Amino acid sequence: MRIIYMDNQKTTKIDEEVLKAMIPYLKEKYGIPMGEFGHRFEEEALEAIEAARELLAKSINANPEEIVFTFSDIDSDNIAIKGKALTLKDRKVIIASKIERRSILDSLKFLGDLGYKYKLVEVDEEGFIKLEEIDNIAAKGAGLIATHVGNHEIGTIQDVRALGDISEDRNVHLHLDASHAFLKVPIDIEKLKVDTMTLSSHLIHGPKGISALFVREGVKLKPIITGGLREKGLSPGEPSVANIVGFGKAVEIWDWNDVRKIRKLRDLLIEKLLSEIPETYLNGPRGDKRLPNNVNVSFMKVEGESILLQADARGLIVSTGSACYSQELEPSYVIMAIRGKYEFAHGSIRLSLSRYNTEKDVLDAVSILKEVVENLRKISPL
Amino acid sequence: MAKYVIDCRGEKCPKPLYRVKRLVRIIDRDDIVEIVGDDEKSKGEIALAIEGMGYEILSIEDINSNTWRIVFKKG
Repeated sequence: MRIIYMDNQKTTKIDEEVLKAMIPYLKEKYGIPMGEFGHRFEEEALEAIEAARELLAKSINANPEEIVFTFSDIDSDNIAIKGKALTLKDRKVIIASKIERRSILDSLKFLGDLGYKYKLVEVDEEGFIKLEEIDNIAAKGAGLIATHVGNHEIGTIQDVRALGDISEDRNVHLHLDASHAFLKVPIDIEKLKVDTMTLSSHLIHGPKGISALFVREGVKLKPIITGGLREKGLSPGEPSVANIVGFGKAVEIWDWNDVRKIRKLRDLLIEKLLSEIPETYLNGPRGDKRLPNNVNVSFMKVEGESILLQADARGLIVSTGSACYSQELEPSYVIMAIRGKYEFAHGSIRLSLSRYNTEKDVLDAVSILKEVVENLRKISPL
Repeated sequence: MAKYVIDCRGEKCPKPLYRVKRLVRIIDRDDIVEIVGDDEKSKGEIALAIEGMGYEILSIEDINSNTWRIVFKKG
């Protein structure tokens, strides 16, 4: 059976070149750095880490000293949000939107238990955060805005320049989770007034178990993990040098022409899904305000989880934020926030593309989904 | 050729289908799988998934008013 992988916002296939670059650091060069001076294994590790740091910094026009390696995107969000919150002496109010990733929402719940206040602002029907709400709350005294660049589920690209302006005008720390947007949309730290930002490896064909946090020069974060001084004391565990090298390589070999190709495939996929499968609706915006690799649609009168399983049986790998009849999960809170109706959340599916997808993948995916949705509607009409 | 039985009585959709899909991944070609369950929704979805995977359904029957049995061969 031919497998069509379209779950690239969950994770991506590691690039062969990335893997090749990592292997020496798993086999022969297995040291970890201990400080500025050390034996040859430590020196090799230090040089490799700093080379990767430079590559990451260059990709967002930052200084290498502003890049902190962490162990996951979730770690990066936690380190930034909790770390900033713990430095706040007053204005212990945090602003986010209703469609953040769990790493942000759960960090806010954690801080809420410690006495912080947090406010989740509304989004419009395409998932754009209502900036005037953020500004109003910030004007009354807030210490932190924690939100995203590109939405993990519906692909909405937020107006981060406007968010930066609010942050500057109101003197509020701005943390952005750019996990899904990093190397999908251009990010220039010189032009973007952001204080901390999460950058993902495993969503750009790099390894898992590694992430990065941009921390603008002068920004103070209280370490939430203690145990040493590595990575500015913010992520002090023994570094996975191989993963860091792989992350750097994934950034180094990134080709923006692939993004242009993926965007075309995305638009073809949207057009075919909407035209060939009745009662199908696009969630999120179209065009340049949508992540180039994201498609999210709701099929009326079917369950997202059923579609996922049936598509998988036919070789198509997608994901759903909906698992309405699974006891573990609830309908997608992101789709609920933009649509307000359960029927859209129930049948929502995310298809996320990568440079390895082809036009044939797109056409076959539509064909599989058409068959699956038609059959499910016949056997389990809602 | 081996025969496997999945008794998913008392389990609700999608768990029975998950169990079928997991088993199919590890068994050999031409092995037979018998599934017994009582969730009506799972009955339809399991049959649809088996067809989707390209395997041959040997029988679908109601054992009594609320219990069904599906037998298929991994082709």
